Amino acid sequence: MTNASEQEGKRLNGAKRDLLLGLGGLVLFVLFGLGIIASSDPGGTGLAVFGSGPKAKQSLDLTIVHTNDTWGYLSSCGG
Amino acid sequence: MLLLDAGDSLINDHYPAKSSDGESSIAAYNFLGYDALAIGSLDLTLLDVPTMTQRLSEAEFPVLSANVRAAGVEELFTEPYAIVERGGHQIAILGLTDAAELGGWTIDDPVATAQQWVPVLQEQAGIVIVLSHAGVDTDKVIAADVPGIDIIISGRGAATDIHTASETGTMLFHADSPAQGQAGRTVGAAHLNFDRAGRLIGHQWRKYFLSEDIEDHQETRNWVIEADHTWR
Repeated sequence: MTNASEQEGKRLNGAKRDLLLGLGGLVLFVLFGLGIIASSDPGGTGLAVFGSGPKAKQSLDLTIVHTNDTWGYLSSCGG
Repeated sequence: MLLLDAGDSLINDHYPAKSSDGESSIAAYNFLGYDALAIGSLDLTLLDVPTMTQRLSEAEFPVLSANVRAAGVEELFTEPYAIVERGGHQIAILGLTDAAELGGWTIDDPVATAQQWVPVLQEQAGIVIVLSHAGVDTDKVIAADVPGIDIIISGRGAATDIHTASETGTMLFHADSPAQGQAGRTVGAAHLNFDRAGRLIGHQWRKYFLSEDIEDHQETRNWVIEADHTWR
């Protein structure tokens, strides 16, 4: 193999190495991301982060205003 | 917020409800933005099946009863319950009517009806509210004997303010005790705290009497004046 072909071979190997490192980084990034999703959604589908799964429940402060037996009576108060 | 009515609110001897066969009542509840109304036996005493059917068609909110059928008809007359969502929580509201012998209507036992429906609602909602005109005494039986109910909004009979069933923890709120000239003048307000799982963990309740000490909401006052012209 000539020097030129050896250099070309090294350049291609370097490019493959960079590509593999890039793909590996991408895989690690995805796995890391899924780990975060899983830890934030224990027992869930992991899809909630993307807004298509069941909503995470929060505590609820609810006011119920209620009437009964008004008999259809209408009147203003202060007049 | 939820705005609810526990029944006998469409009609009695009061103008303009009487002269409009309850049309003015439905219009008022539409205007005020009610979330649900239960049917009371007085509504069924004074309004026949065709008229009630017309009133239901005018309502922009669920009119509920799980135990009323037109005589000779197998299907329920209205939807038995409604599901609403607040803050990511599914809330079921079951309507109940007080048992009575009325021409043109069949009303099933409200306690048995609650026993039948509450398990169904528990599968669909984390919070279950019973909007009941069964009467305070019957509502206390339901609270004690039917597990799975968080809140009963009660109508009919003497107001008892707050009652908690020791057997189940179900809370009952009842605001109004209508007397001559006083119907529609009492409003209850319950401030409730639920945890993430929908368990009731805190409450405050207060009764308001709509006296002349309370300043009118101008838009509502204008609506009442307009209604006076419409249904006089």
